[in-house]
Amino acid sequence: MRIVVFSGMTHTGGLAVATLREADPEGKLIIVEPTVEKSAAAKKQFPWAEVLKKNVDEFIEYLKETAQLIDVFVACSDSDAVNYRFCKTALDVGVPMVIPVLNNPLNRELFQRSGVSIIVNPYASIKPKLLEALKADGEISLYESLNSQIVLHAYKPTSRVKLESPEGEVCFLAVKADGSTVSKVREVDKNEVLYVLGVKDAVRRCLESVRAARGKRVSG
Amino acid sequence: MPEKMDVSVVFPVKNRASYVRKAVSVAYKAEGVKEVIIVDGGSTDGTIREALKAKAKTIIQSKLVYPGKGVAMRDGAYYASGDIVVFLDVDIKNMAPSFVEKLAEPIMRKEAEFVKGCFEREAGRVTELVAKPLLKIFYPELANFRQPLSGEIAGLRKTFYEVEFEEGWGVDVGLLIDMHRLGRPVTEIDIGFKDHEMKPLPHLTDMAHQVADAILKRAVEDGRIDRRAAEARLRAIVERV
Repeated sequence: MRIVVFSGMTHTGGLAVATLREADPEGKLIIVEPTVEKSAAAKKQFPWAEVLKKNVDEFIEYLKETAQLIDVFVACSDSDAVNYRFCKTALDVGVPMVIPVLNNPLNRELFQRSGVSIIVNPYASIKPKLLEALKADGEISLYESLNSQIVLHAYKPTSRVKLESPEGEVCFLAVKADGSTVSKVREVDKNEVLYVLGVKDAVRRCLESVRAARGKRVSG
Repeated sequence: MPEKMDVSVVFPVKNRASYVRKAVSVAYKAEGVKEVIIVDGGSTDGTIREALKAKAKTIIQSKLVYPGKGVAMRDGAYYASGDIVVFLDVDIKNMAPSFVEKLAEPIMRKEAEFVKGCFEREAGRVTELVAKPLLKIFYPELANFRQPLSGEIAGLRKTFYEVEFEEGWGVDVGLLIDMHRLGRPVTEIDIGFKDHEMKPLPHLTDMAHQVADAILKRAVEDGRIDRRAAEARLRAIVERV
């Protein structure tokens, strides 16, 4: 059974707790919250979780004492400063998986420098979603896996282009102007969207070749 | 003899690249200082770069949009690991280690858990025209503080976990009232002459509003304002206008 310790009942935190439950319904979830009001609310909202009221120092001691029992620690308070201290402590005492949820995306580098390898940035989807909806042409990065090996890009051409890609390295899916989807894509036209999924370098090479072919109009 | 306690110095900053290196290096020279923390409010002038060169710990405050001094101070208190947290304005031209030492000393001597610094300088306009009159009415026991809005503050780190930080300019006076409400021993100490640029008048409007809001909110919570009587009085004023 997985033991997840979760700190900080914010709006994002509430969503994260529900997600953790969905990811591991049988796992034990321990919510730590420093304020009386929010810990009481967490007890009501998440009756299946154990809720502890602890201040910063008490929680750091708790992490040190129980590190061997914890499988995952998620820091989701409304202060990146306290999340950073908790994550640093969790890493130092050997918690196998440490996940901060950023309040300010500008603090990503600070967490990376501390040795945290998985960082949740709740704002990360805003840019690609808006670009996918609004950008008329060109390339849009929609998704990067946590280790950045696998990426999904969208490409909106300004004219018809032929696709050339080595077999197996990338997957193509196109959405036609009428909304239908096509998986075996050889060319893509204006008002269509090409989705390219694959290993990061292969997708980059593929889209470079598409951009290079942009001037060469396909006959017919 | 004062007890040996570690001190964390916190500077809430925004676009203060020209001050930050000197401030950090001076703070490190003060007795008992184990760390200097820069909490940045989204500077675009290289403040963080300068802070890192001076070997400060740096973090960007938690609010990307509408960052405020109070958010930065709260993040600083949470980031700090010393027994005592000292907050200072970074743009003090005559910054000296004694500022830190004087602020921390009453806590090390167990005479206080929260210390406000006062200084020899022309009194601030928001202090004289907003903070002091309101404190005199609603918290007369705090009316003798010379600089209730001073950003020079020291406190036991643990006491900062017990209060809610106002997000903006109301944070300094809010902390003073909250520490007093919690029954923490509070004192004011003269830190000497402070050479510091005064804000231009237009910049003080928001500050005055936020300071008044912080005091009045607490006065209502503490029952020091009779809400119905105040509303009746306001109605009478509006009718007259």
